[in-house]
Amino acid sequence: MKKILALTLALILTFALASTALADFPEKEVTIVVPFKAGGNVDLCCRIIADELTKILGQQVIVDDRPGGGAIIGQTYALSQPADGYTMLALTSSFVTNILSGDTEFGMEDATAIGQFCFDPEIVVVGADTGITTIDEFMAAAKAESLTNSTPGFSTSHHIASLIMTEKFGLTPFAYMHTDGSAEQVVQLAGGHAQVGLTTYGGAATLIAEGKIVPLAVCNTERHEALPDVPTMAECGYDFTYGAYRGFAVPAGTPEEVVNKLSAALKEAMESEAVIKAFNDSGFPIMYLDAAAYQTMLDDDFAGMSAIYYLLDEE
Amino acid sequence: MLHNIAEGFAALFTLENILFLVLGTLVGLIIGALPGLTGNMAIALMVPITYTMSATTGLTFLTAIYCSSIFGGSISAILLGIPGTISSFATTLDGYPMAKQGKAGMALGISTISSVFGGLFSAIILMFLTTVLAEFALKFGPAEYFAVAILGLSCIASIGGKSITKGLLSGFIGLFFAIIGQDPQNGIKRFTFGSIDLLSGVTLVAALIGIFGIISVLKNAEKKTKENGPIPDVDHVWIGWKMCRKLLPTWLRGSIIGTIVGIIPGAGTNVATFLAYDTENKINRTKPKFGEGNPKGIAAPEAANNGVTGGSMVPLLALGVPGNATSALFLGALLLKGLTTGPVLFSEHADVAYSLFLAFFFANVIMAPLGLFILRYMKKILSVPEALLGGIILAFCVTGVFSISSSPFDVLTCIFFGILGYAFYKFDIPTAPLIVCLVLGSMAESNLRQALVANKNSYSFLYTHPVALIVLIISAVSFFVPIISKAVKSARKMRHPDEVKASDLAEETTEEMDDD
Amino acid sequence: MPKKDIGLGIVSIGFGAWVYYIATTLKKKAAFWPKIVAVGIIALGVIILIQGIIALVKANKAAAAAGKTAEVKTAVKQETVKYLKVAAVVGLLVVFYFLFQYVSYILATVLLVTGTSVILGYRNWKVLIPTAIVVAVLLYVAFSQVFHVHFPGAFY
Repeated sequence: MKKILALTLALILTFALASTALADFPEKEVTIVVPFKAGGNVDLCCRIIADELTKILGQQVIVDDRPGGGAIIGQTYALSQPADGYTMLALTSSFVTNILSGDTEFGMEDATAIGQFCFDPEIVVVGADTGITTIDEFMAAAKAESLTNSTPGFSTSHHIASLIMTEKFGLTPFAYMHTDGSAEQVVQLAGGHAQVGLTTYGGAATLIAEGKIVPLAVCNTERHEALPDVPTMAECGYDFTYGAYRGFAVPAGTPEEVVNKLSAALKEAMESEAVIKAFNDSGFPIMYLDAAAYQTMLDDDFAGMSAIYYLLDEE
Repeated sequence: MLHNIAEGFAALFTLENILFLVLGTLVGLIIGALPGLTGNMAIALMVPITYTMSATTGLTFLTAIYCSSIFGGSISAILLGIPGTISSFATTLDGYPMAKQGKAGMALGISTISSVFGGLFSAIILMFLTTVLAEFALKFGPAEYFAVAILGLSCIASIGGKSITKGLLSGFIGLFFAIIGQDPQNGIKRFTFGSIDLLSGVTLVAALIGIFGIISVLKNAEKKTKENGPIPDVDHVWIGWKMCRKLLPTWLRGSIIGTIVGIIPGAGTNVATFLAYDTENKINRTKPKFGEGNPKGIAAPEAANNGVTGGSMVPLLALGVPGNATSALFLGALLLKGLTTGPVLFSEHADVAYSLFLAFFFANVIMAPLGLFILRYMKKILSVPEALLGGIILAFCVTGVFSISSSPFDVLTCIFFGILGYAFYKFDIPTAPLIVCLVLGSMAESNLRQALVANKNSYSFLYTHPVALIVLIISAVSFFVPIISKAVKSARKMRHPDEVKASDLAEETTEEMDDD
Repeated sequence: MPKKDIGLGIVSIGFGAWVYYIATTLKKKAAFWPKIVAVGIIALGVIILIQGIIALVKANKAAAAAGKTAEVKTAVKQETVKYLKVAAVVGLLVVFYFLFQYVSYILATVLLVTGTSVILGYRNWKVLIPTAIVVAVLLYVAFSQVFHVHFPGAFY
């Protein structure tokens, strides 16, 4: 008797919980897990968005930073939470590289995309004293000999972009100097200790303005707002698009209604004045992709990365 | 530069910052005054709290604790004859006798003004020297940074306390812990044993909290509790203009010695205080004799130890090399906020850097009135039982460590380093080199390998880059000079066994509380 | 003292050798630096060992000359009590580590604060218990509300 009672009770409870979860999500606070340090770019973006999402969803949206292990710790944590939409993961290219590295317990199938909110294109920059001023000159020089390439760290999107570029245009492999962060990376270029680097605008802005490093081309389909005179790779005849992307995902198995609701909320947030202003002020380029488009983009990136991953191992 | 100072002012003068400047000063004064609790411990415990603040507020708070804890140490040195922090050991030599003669107020007055003088002096040097050095270092490449890291490593020979060998051993163990994680150039996992928690290496702040926080409680556990002696009454503390004029040369000499010693990586606060004390002792012609309550015997070490505060930040801010344990803590706090040290700090976050300079300045200014204010409650504060504090400190340590990235593994790291630090203490191994090398290890390796890449795998950069070469030569000198001078000293001691100088005391005390 | 140093020397040599061994399993570029560190640790261990042996020989000679061996036993007893206390504090920390993760942060903290203070020799229960509870609750509220830390325990 007791067993049956307990069973019915449990059943009722589950149904009650399940139905409410579907009916009016969210019922409690939503957590965005950021697998990076507080104060970093991803954390800053997420905090801006979380404030707006709080207004849209009518529930507190908080940011939980769980750095370490090359983002694996935070990613593992977020994806092992219940698939109810109350835990979102801030998803970046490191998700794909981590899976390929074989250190993770999760795979591509364990995350469901919510949407992308930011795409920061790579910019090809060289030190001012290299004398290189156009992307064509750069390509010629890079084919002729091995240039020194400074990156903000091993297996960062900037490093990978350089590897893909080398493959695609048949360049002589770069000699890589892996520094600690984008600030150090561009200082090495300005000081003439390395010749070329792929970087995003935020980290290089000061030195570009001072003329110590020269931007050659933007790896995107359109020009960069802050650098209207710098051509895109496509304009110069090179088909190459790459950048650091940031978006959200939830653990796989989250009900579709919840995914749609979060995706719509993200779209609304990215179109709000407050977020647009805050992103512009911080130099984060907004580029919204919905759940399906972001998922496709992730799968494409995974396929592309799998093809060149052996290069990382070889180094 | 003026523009930057103005920006720093604007960043510093918010209600929140001023509040934390005052709060930090009070915390520093109290913890500094309590024997057995050090300023470094206070800073270590507060680092996780600064994590949620803005960078400027957090650094202001830590700066206030740093400066005032050094001064706070002199309060118990004078009133109880027990240095609150090791940096005030030299102050007991004349401060306590003076207090026993019924001139406790006078002694405290001298130590207050001397500390403020030394602190302000070093704050000014900090601002000018750092910006010049950073401007110069902007041109540095991996070869130069490798040389600078080696300079920092070679200086550990002088922090070593009694035994240079053990100091070096501590340093090398620090280098080992710095290896753990993914290697800086190729992402190869080293000493991680399949754990994802170790992939990004040992968490610096967790290790520091273990070494400064947990170890202080473990040391307490094995020690018998002592009752403090009676605390003398404090009368008026203003020392008069005449005395100020008399002490001015002493302050200047003390401040200069303190600041210079502070800048040298690894030298430590107590080296500065005893050097200043010895210098004054040698040239003193006033009565009473040193050791019997001479005002200059308080003024010299107190000006020197606060002189160290600003000096010790110079190599950290300009080059990214922490010169002592405290600056390693500041580095931990900066890294948590995603800021890097070295020239990049000035180009990317000039407002943060300049507000830090100004924080050093104002922390020293408000230290005096707050110090005099807190003196009234000193009797109560000094009678808080250490045993009760122990548990609270531990709770603070583990909670703070956990709060940084919600990682139970960090808590384990913190406990591990507490135990390791205790073992070091038992084997008379200093912990300061461990801490400095934990930071410098990856800097040295990463830059060496970058330099090799830039030079097509040739070691020629060691002599073709003039700056790197000069720094490497200085490193070699700073490594061998202490070893030779120690050998000479022990040879002389064999011949004249009775001669004891105050500076020898410094070496003996280093081992006791080397965490300053 | 010299005996301790001999032990330290041996431990260092062993540790350095282990580091070197692990380093040999790594790729060449990544192994270079760990090998330098390992060699350094081994070399320092050897120096400490030799210094210790020399000091021990000297001390033995001196002791043989003076003929002193007494006064050792009581000291040993005190030493053991000392280390037991340190071990107990470490034990409390380990208990805290598990308790706060799986049971309750506040309970774990109260236990840690009271336990440590008692081990350190504090016996005034009327002060201790309220202090421990106040500290635990304050830390919990401060960190969970102000700093948004989520404590993993099942209850508070």
